[in-house]
Order: sequence, then structure tokens, then C-alpha cells
Amino acid sequence: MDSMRSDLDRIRLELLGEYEREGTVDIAEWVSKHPEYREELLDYWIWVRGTTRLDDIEEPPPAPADDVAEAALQRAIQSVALGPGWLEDAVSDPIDAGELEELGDALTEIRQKPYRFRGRAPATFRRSAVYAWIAISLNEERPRATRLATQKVAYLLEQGLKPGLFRDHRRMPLGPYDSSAKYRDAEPIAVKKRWMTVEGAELKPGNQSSEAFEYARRYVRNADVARELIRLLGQLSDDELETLATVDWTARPLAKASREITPRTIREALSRDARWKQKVEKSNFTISAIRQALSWLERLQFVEPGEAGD
Amino acid sequence: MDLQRPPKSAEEIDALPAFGTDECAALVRARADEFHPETLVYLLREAISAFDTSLVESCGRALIGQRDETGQWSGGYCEGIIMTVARDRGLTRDEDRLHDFRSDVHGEMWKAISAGRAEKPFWEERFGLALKHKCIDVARKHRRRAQRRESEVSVENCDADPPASVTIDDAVLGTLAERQLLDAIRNLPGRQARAAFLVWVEGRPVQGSSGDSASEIMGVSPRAVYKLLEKARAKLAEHPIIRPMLDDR
Repeated sequence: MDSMRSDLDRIRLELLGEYEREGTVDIAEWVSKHPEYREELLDYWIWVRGTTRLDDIEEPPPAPADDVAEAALQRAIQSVALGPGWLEDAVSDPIDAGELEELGDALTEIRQKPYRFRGRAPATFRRSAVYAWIAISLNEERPRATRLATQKVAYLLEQGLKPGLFRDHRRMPLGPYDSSAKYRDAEPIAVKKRWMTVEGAELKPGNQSSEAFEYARRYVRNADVARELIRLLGQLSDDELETLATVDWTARPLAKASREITPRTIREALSRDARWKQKVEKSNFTISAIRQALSWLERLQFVEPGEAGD
Repeated sequence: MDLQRPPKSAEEIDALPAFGTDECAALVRARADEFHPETLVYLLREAISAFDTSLVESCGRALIGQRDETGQWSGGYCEGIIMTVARDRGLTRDEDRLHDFRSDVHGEMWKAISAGRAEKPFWEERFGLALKHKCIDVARKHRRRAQRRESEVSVENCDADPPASVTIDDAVLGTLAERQLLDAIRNLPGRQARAAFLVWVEGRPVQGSSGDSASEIMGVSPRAVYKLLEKARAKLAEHPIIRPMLDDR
């Protein structure tokens, strides 16, 4: 995943370099050279086109007289002594806290009501429609909807709305994962119905994608709230979703045992888990990455307020 | 690690006394403002590895510039690029958004510098390009965040309307209108934005066989492109300035 991202990063930098040299870019050529990054390169070019080239910058607007640059420098200096966590905290939250809290209230209200699906559609069909809808919606929110992202969002949707559809997740190297969705029902059915297509690890809308939503909305208890949850989770990277789902999974038994839930106790729990102990070495499981995930979970009311912190 | 440093930066680095010596530290402190940004990033990474916070501060200040007595920033290599991208992408119109944008760009820049040359070599090869790239990424992230707040394309998101009482040259109006169209397109959901951009902004045909049509570039059928354009048109038609432009497309 990391090498894929750095490869894409390098290609986008090369594209920007060509724009800086030539003043334009033929995106058709770039896409034909790198078809695996078709959407990413197109989206990037939409943002690059028309920007002032570096050599043409003559009179930039004055920067506001504030302490933004100074504060960032001070954090960088502190991070030399205290660790890179100081820098991670400097970048603002990709998800708006107010929106998360609002959504958390709505999810809690829905969860508190008793629910039992009363239709005739088999569980495998329902799982498939909702899974495909998640993948299709993620395609609208982020450059690519990976299986990893779809799986994690399905897991979190189950925790948020309890529709009783995604309860087969197991601890896998990249976090909670439901292999039956890939091999047995959700993906095979969705592909057969042409709701989505699978290209390697990427899930894309199929030519009957709108049908998936027509079905899925009946199975998620509240389609508007589910859509909002998917939309917000769609702002997170694969790494962040892995962290969020894994931290949620790890926090639940701690909460059940009335144990303190902090970045430290989560890392301790991960270290004790044979399957997940290597996660603590990863950059998306640092104290500050876990702290961030706990803060999102607390706002979503997945983790009870007052338990998360540090 | 073999980096393709700009020749002037490579010369500066070659001329430095051995890192870690008092002579080197004294020279850097005295001349940091004269160094090219790629040299400063090299020095910052060396200083970070050596836990030399004092040198990090000297080079960091040379990189970001200084505030003068009026509080304005001068010198450095960052704010000119950051503020130009902010202006180009309409972020200077809202004080809070500009603040968040600058704050995130500075934060991301320091993360990239701290990540080291093996992970982020480009910052020592072409600092300006790497910083602009980061600015664009942050601007995109902020736009996605703003989209969630404004569920549909709104006039506020686009550049100000040309005043009705002033005669504007057609070419200028054309440029302004194109900027507004592009700005509105960036607010559309991903696939609609790609289709609208390729067909309406770049003027590409929907279908073709030479590899440069919208359907070929997007890797979807021409029918899918038409459907996406239909959806995009419906969304953009709510915009009073954009609507007449779409009638011609």
C-alpha cells in the first residue's frame, strides 16, 4: 500500500513538473501511460490546470499577519526532541467534529430502537446490495474505493446502525475483515447483478449501480444516516480506516471489561494479540494516530464518552 | 542515496564543512538566509537526525521567512507559493479557510521534511514543486470537507460575479467564466467532475478511437459519460453564471 502510494505521488509530481515546464499537460497521454491511476491522475489534473506556474509567481497575495508558520516551526522543533507525534497533531482533522457529533446522536437514536428485518430478501442478497452501495458511494468520495476501505466501512456501518448484515468480520492482518463477503456472497452477487465491478483490489460502480442503492436503502434502517456515515468515512484514507476499525474492535472488549480506553491501553491490547501485535510498529498505529481514531469513535458514540482520552 | 539536486544547491552542500562541526554550525547560522531551499531541507534533515534543535530553528526560519515589525512575512520560500495556490483555488476569500489551509500546508511540509530523504527525496530535489504539490493536495482535501457542508454547488463557492455596470472585454469574461466553470466542476462528485472537465473544459469528444476522447480517458462507455454529463448539467444548472455557459456545450 505504501509503495503504491509513493509511486502515485511520484507520478503526480512528474505530471506537475510537466505542467510547470510546458504550461499544459495532455491528460490522455498520462492516463494511457498509467491506466492503473486513471482516476487519481484525472482528479489531480483538474486541480492543477490553471494554477500559476512557479516561474510566473510575481506578486503573491500577502500572507496574513498570524502565527501559523511560526507555530508549525515550533512544533517541528519540538518534534525533534519529543517525536513525530507533535507534527501529526499539527494537521487539522479530515472530518469535521461537529458533523461527527451530529451523526453520532442520530446513530445512537437509531440503535436504541429495536430492529428486526421483516422482508423476504435473503441475508446474502441484502449484504450484497449494501456492500455494493458502500463501494459505489466510496467511489464518489475518494479517488478509489478499495476492498479494504469497503470492508472497513461495512464493519463500521454495522457498529453504527446494527442492521445485522456485517457480523462475520474476523481479525485479519489489515484489521477486521469479512472473507465471506469477498468469496461467498456480497462481491460475487454484486458482480453478477452488475452493481459493481472488481479490478484487483479496487471496487468500481457497475452499469446497474443505481439498482444496488434502491435495494440497499431498505436494509440499512435509515438510508440518510447510513449515507452520511459512508460519506464521512469516505474522507479517510485506507490507513486511517484500518486504524479506526481496528481500534473500534480492540476498544469494545476493554469497554465490556470496564477497563480504561486510552491510546496506551489500545496499544497494549494490540501488542498482546498474536495477529495484530505487529501493528504497533506501523505509522498508522502511533499514539497520536490511535488518539485520533478514539476521538472519532467517541464523537460517533461507538466508544462511550469519558472512556476515550489519554 | 543519489539525489538529483539543483546544481546551485549541490554546490552549496559540497562547500559546507563537515556536518556536526562547530565550523559548519557557525557557517549555517550566519548564512542560512542565502541558501537555496533544497540546501535548507538537506540541512534540516541532517539537524533533525543529530537532534540539533538550534540548527533546525535557524534553517527553519530561513525556509519560512521572517515577520517584520508590521507582522507581515518576508523572505523565505514558502508563503509566496502557498498564498498563490490559495488565491488560484479561491481560498483567500474566507479568512478561516485560509487559516486552516496554511496551517495544514505548513504542518504537512514539516512532516515531509521530517520523514527524511529516503521517503520524500523530492523536497531536496525541487522544493518549490514539492510544496506546490502539497498545497494542491491540501486544497483538494479542504474542498472535499467543504463539500460536505455545502451539499450542492453554491454561488459562494465561485468567484464573485462580474459587476453588471462595468463593460468587460469578452476575452476577460471568457477567462473569468472558465474559472467559474472549473471551480464549480471541482465541487461535483468525482465521476461527474471528470466527465464535465474533459468534455466542457478540455473540449474533448465524448467518444472516439484515438485515445483522447472522454470515454477512453475515463475507461467507461460513451453512454456512461453522457449520463454523468446529464447529472453534472442538472447540478451546475442551479448556478446562474454557469447555466448559460452550459447551453453552448
